[in-house]
Amino acid sequence: MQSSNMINYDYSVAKCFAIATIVFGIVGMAIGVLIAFQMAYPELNYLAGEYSTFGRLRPLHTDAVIFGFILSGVWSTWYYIGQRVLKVSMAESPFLMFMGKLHFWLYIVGVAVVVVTLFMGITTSKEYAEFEWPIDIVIVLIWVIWGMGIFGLIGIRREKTLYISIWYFIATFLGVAMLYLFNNMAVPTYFVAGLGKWYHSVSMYAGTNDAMVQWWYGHNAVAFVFTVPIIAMVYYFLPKESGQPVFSYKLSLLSFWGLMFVYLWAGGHHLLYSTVPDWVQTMGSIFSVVLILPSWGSAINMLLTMKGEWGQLKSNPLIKFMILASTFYMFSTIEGPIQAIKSVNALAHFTDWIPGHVHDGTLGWVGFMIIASLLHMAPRMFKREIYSKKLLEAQFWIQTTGIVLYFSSMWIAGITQGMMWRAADQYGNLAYSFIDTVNVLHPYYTIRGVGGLLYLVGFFMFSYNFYKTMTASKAIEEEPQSASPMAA
Amino acid sequence: MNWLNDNVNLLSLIGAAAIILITAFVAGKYIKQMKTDKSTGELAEENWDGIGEYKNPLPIGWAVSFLGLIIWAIWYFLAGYPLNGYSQIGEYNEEVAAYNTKFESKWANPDEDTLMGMGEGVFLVQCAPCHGITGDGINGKATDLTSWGPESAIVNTIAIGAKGSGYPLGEMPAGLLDPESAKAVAAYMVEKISKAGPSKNPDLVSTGEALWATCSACHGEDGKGMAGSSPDISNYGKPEFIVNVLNRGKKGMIGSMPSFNDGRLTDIQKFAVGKYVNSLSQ
Repeated sequence: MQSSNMINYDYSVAKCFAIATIVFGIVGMAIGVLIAFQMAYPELNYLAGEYSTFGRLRPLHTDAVIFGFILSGVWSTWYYIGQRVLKVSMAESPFLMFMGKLHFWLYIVGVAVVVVTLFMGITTSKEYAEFEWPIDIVIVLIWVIWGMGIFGLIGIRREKTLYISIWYFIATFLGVAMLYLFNNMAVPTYFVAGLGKWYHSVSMYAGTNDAMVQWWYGHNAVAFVFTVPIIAMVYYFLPKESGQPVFSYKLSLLSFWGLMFVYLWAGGHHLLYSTVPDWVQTMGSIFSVVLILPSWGSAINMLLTMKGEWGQLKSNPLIKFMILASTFYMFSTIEGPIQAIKSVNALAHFTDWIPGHVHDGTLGWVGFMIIASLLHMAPRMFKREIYSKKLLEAQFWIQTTGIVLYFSSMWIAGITQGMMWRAADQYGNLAYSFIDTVNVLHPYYTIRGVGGLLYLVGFFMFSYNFYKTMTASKAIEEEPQSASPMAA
Repeated sequence: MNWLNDNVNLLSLIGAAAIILITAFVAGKYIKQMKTDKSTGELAEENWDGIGEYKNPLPIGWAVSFLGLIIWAIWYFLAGYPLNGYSQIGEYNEEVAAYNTKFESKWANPDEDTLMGMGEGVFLVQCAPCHGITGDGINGKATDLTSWGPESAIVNTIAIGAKGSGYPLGEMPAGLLDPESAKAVAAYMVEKISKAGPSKNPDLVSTGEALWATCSACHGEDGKGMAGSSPDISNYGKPEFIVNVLNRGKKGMIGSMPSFNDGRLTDIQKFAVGKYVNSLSQ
């Protein structure tokens, strides 16, 4: 077996994206904490005039964490994992090196423009697709550059068989490309009808069709940004960090193709009890329920990989992060399907149970996986040991507490809210008005804010740990085969 | 109120419990294997950056569940819940019709307390958003219903006029009578026309009768509005008057109140609202 250490991997792009992950993570999560507290204390809307209102900040929060934090994490790990499992260094191809750097810098420009325009209130008003058409064109360009990087690296690989993680990265690339292109089809109003500013546009689809395309996109943005590339991470980092072979190749394969086939049909569950055709709604519900199994397949594969390795789980905080992440992945991917059952959705729709669901997935699964991945990469990229295990342990428990507070308060708030909205007196009149629900939910909104704050505190601890690992930690001579070295 | 009588509530709570229990059970099972079991299997030839893969078979429970769900999905979509065999609007219409039938028979002969309770419930949902929870009109945002109905309100209406009920004879101008005369007409009205009295000024009733012609020109000698030419004020200060306003809506001095004659309220409910609103000034 050829040692991977014989190839001199070039991590310069991975490092850039790792730092971007941390910066955008802090920004996105800090805005998230602020708007969480705005829900409990509305005066916080007026900290900075129009720029601090919930309406302006909410898309900044979602876009900063999805397209800033998570995508940077995905790309950082891609530029790390890609080279290693394909057994080829980026340094071997000046073209790929150039494309990687162009990818990063063009992306930074894109993010800067997005931040400015969203603060100015320039938006298409489509959720998670708020960017106006000129920005969309830049995003497509960034995506194409990444695609050339993926297939370029695959083209010059030494390892003939593609590792599971590569399948998932390719799926991320293809899935998002397709979704993004179709959902962002828009008519630039100025150039077509002389109306509005030059950057304004309206969706190319109207009414119900627009809603269906939007939620086909919105739901699968979750699939191909929150799920697929994160599975790519767990399939590499968990076996690598633990030194354990993946439990079952067959399970990997069936879970992958199951996920690819089933996920794309489930978006209709966002539009239950709306004007979309009944069969589309029913289809959305059915595919959502079937989706439990391919999702759980990957998680189970990871848990079974750790069979007999309780000792590692106890001693290695990175393994802890990844195992809890897999468990939150299971939790979130059975929660979604159950909320997609029509009778449950009749209560859950529009309630806080939905952001509760999203956040046990994003905080528990996505956030934990990215944190663990970056910390696994750090000693190998910077040739230093992880700065502090103690800090990492503390971070794990603080963030876990934060997540539990977050989702339990949102579960209680959401279900209470849903039941109150449905409640009627003996004469059939609605029993509660909107303000009644607000009064009841207020304490839970505060608890949610505190949960988010704890997670953010943990993220700062991670950032500090990463920074110190990068700059001040003890140097290591040789790259470890599995468990990452860390100072107590 | 029994929360669990509602199937949606019940199913949601079962669903929430299932999420926690199933996750805890399955994840718990595999975490236990981390403590007790040993990883084994035949390794595949490939090795990626030091990562190997076992050629283990699928976990049987997972495989069976997946297959079972796929079969269920196909059955449900094509046979159990066929593509063209269901319409959500149809289901809605059926449920509403069934509910209304039940409602009509259950409350066919409501007593006074029932009407007041029902009226208050409807009021809080349908009327309070503009008229306020207490009916005070929220500082002039809508008509103050706590002063609607009694003799003094008639004096006020004569002073400010009235409009917006959409009758052929049009608006009633402000200040048709001076304040003293208005008081007398009000006394006559509550004693003889609406019979909502007794009047606070019984001595003015005969003066009012003499001035009634100003009103009867439009509302008719009997105050019944001359067969739909103008509002029937013979039931002013009574639930029936409110029912009429609910049916017609009102583009009044302050704003526009929509008509509630769109099926959202039954006749019993409208009458109950009338009863309740009428009670606000008493």
